[in-house]
Amino acid sequence: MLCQHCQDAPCEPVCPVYASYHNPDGLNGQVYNRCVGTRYCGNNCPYAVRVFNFYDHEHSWPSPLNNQLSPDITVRSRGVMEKCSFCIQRIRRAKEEAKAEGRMIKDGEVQTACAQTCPSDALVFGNMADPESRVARLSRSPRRFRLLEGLGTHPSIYYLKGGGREHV
Amino acid sequence: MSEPIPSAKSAGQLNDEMLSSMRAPTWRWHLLAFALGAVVAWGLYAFTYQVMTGMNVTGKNRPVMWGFYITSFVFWVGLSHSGTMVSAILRLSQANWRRPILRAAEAMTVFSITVAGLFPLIHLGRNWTFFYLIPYPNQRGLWPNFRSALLWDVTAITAYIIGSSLFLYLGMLPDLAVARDRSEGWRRKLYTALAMGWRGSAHEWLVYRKASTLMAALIIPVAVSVHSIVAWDFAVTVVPGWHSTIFPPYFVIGAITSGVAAVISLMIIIRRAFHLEEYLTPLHFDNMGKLLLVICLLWSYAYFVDVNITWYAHEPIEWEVFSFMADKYTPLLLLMLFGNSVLPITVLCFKKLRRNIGLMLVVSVLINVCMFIERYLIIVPSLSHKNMPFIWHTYFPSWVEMSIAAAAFAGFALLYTLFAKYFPIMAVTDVRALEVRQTHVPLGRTKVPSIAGEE
Repeated sequence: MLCQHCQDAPCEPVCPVYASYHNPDGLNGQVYNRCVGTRYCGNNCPYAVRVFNFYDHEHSWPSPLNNQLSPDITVRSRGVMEKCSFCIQRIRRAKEEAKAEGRMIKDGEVQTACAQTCPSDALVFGNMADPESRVARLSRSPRRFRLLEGLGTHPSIYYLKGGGREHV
Repeated sequence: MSEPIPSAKSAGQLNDEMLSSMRAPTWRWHLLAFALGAVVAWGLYAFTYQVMTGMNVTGKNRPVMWGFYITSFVFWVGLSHSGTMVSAILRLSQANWRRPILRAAEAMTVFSITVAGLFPLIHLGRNWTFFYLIPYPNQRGLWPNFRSALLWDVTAITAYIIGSSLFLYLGMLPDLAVARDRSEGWRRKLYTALAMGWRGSAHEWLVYRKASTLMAALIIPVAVSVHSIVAWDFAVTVVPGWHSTIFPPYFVIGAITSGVAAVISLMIIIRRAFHLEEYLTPLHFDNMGKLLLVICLLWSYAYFVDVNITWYAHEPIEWEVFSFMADKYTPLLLLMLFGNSVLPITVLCFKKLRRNIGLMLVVSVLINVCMFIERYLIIVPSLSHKNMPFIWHTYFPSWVEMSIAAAAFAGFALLYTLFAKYFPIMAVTDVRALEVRQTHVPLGRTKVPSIAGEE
């Protein structure tokens, strides 16, 4: 399971150093350099999707295995919390490119790594604030549901349940 | 007061006996200090190993991110409630029997809160960045997040360390002056500096009385807030089994239970080690036993309410966590209920048993073992069995965590051993004040001790 990017994320208020915070894009961000590793956010996440770096992943790759690491992002150090960031480096790059060209980001321009690799197109990423985007249209489907809605965390991820005839 | 404090002793004799612990250390004392120091050194080695290697040397995993360290933290914060309860409350209620034990209890508060304060730092993933939690203007341009219960912890514990140290020091001031007058060499210099020129004038006593009463009144709300805040660490989360409104009072009661039990255990040890049988009489154990009985009853009630509400509400995940705990940890759960509730309530109901010192040692030590289990059972099962079944996981402490937890006990004992050797462990002046006010009034054919008080 990946981070649900809750709008009222339980991991955010419990972080004593603002490592877990809500960014203006509506993402639930994690600033690794601020993190001291209290792991309180990991406990308070009802989806248990926060991952703590128990091990050192930075220097533990013998060459040439280190080449598999993404050149776009730094490898998070040992002792910090990390989590799905919705490939924030891809969002940033697309934003910068769009800004340079003086336009808004087009729907489908940003793909998260998981959505990109999913062969059956089960994952869709996009701008929920834009009602015309594909993801926003899918999220209005009667088949939609969100996980543990009773807790009031308001996750950003919608799931579509199977069955029924009303395919959107 | 059927067993009076011994009378008809000169002031010098009283000082001598009560400060007997401060005589030059014997080889046994050195051996004890060395053994405790060795355990602490081993704990330091384990901690260094953890810092160098990573948190993977602990038994923690996803989702059980907190384990033995936080259990120890809550346990030691709980123990630190001994001094304030026994000393401050009894001081305010002018219970005279508190006098011989108040110093031991106050010192225990200071040392256990100090040990407790180390655990949140030990458990950090990046211990070397602990200062990110301290609110000070910094180059990161970032203030800590005061919405986080951990920041409340930092604040409360710092306040409590400062407050309880002052409380201990203030109460010790006249005794330090006594020690100063009786010592020589470097110790004399030390006590002279610490006694801050105490001469025992009427004015000094007046100020001292006022200040110590004020401190006693001030330290109680701090103590209550400290453990409420520790409870909020759990209660403000959405973790099933933690998310409970009874946690703050329940934790405070639990803290006082373990604190009072620990004071009883320590009284027995000090009594034996320094031959203070005449000062720590069965009467003290009787009274402490009554206090412990009341608190054990309260604890049992609070525990019952917590479980009962879980059962009554029957929220599926809450009930699932409780069932998991009761199923997987049945022996620990039963031991905890026996040691915290069944045994003390049965034993402490009887005066004869309350005055049986061997039995009191068993009861009080068992209570603290069970309080440790209680915290473990709150923290670990809830985390290992959270909302999402895809990641249910168990937890068992590794040798590193066990070593550090053991080193905490040894470190506490070492601090206490050093304190008892170099500082007056009996509240000499308090006991003597009682002595002076106590006379023996003939009543028929017998003599009855009577105490003249302000009341």
